[in-house]
Amino acid sequence: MTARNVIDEAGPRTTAVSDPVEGDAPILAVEDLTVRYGTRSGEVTAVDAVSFALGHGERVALVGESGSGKSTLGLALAGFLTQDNVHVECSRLDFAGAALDRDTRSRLPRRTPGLSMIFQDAMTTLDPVWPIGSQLRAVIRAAGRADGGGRPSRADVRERARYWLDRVGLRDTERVLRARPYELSGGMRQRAMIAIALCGGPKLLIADEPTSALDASLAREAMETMLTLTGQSSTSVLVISHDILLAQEYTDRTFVMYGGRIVEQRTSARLVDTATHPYTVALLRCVPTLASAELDELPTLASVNAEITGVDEPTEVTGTPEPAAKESA
Amino acid sequence: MRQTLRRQRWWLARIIALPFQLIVFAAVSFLLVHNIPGDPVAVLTGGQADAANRAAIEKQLGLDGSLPTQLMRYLGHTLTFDLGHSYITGRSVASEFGDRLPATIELTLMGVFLSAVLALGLSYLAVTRPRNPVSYLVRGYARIAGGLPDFAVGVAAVFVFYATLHWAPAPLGRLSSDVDDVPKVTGLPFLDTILTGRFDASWSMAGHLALPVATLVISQAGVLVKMLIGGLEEAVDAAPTRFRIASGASPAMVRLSLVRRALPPAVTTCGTLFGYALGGAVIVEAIFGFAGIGSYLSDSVSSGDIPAMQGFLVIVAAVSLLVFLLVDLANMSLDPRRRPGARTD
Repeated sequence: MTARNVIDEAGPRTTAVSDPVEGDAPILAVEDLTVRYGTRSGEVTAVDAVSFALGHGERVALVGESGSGKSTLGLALAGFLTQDNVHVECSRLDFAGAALDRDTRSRLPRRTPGLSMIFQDAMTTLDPVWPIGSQLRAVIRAAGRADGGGRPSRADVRERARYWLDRVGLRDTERVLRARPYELSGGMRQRAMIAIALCGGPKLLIADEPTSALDASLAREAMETMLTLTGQSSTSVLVISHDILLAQEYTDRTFVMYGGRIVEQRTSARLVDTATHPYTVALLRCVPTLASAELDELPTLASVNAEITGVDEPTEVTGTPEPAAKESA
Repeated sequence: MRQTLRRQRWWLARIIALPFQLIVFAAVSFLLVHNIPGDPVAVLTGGQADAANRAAIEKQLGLDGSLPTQLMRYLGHTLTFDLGHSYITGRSVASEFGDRLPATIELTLMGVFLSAVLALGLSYLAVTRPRNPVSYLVRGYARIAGGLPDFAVGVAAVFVFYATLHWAPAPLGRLSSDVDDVPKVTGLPFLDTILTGRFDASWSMAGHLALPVATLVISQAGVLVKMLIGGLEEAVDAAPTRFRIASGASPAMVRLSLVRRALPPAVTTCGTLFGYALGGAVIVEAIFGFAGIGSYLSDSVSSGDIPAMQGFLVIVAAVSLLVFLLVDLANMSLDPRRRPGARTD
């Protein structure tokens, strides 16, 4: 299944029109990407020969438990694994139609033009010592120069900074421009981060747990803001998340990662029907629903696995609500 | 106006507080020195003074009246920059320091400034280019940080570069003997050679300053390098750096952001280093035959010259308070979260 097909299946998105020339080639193609960490007790393989492709304007969720390698994969794609003890190898890494050639001598990563990234907690991600406006303008100026239009004028840059704050729904523009991250509320920070990540006009946005630091309603707002804006510019999005429901709801395809491998690549809307890997099946059955409110005990990965394999293992507690179990006893 | 004042309060308040902190320190140092055992009148007269003479001398030295009276008088004089007169030479303590301190401060500042610039450059290289051969050397140097005492480095430098290789001029002052003295403008010797247009003297002085300044830098930059390597290494992998890079800020902006976040601990260390460098400068002055406060100090301590000692304490306190004010202001500018009243949650 190619990326194009997925976009078609997801239904016509009026704004997500791919560039006719680049349209057929994926925006990102990865083959056999492996990441190994050297530790005191030997090498640990965090990402194990992962291959996939992302289409133009496509939205993909990368889900998996903690330690499955999903965040490492995101960092490797963005070129942030420059530590001495980390080894990144791949047989192919194409972005926007060209192989990525990265300077491996420098410890300070260089940007991959067109690839932007946002992180879990806007409080720790935004530069704490500069006002939001300065951080926005820095990106807008650099993007203006990269476009070949020369150095954009001050007034122009200011205007665009206001425009971007407005686009992410921050109305109190003047105050936000002057504010430093710690002077804003959590929701505002998240929006400001999205504005900074997108104002440079990226072709691909990697969002590493973009909503985990937010409460449920703020998480949905942030997700919708992010996806509306990337939709309008047909920017591809790779959302790394442990929230399989949120991921399913907002993306075209879902990749499930387990033990450093991508074990499932499915259309999000049909993930429940088409999932074959036992881990995915188990994961989906663990999602609490209204129906499971009737149960004495919520299903866990361990209990579901035991059920599937028919082996009556002692239930490992992984986020099980213990009190519920006691009440039923 | 009121709005502006409120926004600038973080540094205004510190500057206004400075003289008050100094007065408190002057009072404490006065009481401390006053309690040093020994009778200055007896020292000056060899124990031969009768009651009338004694009263006259005490009045002359400002030792008459009760302790509070003496203290108030001393503080009053200090506020008008009058630090009293030396018991031994009779010269004004303030003018003695005025003659000698600027030269020492200049040497110290050169050492600290060069240490800071070199440390930043070298540690940035060591962190961003870990496999560069120079980086290995820098890390090795950082590891022995603080293990190179200035007196040893200074003597070794004289031995190698003057006595053995003859690259450096004789360690006998700031100027070679065939160069005429430079008229005084600011009291900072090197600056004066430039201000008076005596570039021959600048050149000679630069040659004479090379080893002493290098001695200060080598013995002191290690601590800074160590601190900066730690800070930069942490900042390289920090989320704000990654976000700056990923969102597409220019490489220059990324570097600026990285350094700004890694700098505050090193700036604080620079302030502490200034104190050490001032002490180091006194030693270096002795090794290289420079005029400065070094010899004046040791003379006044051995002869029990109380006004000179007291003056030294107050001046050192003033310099330290000023340096740490600058350190705090620099850090509060680098990281606004450090300003009093900044809301962080």
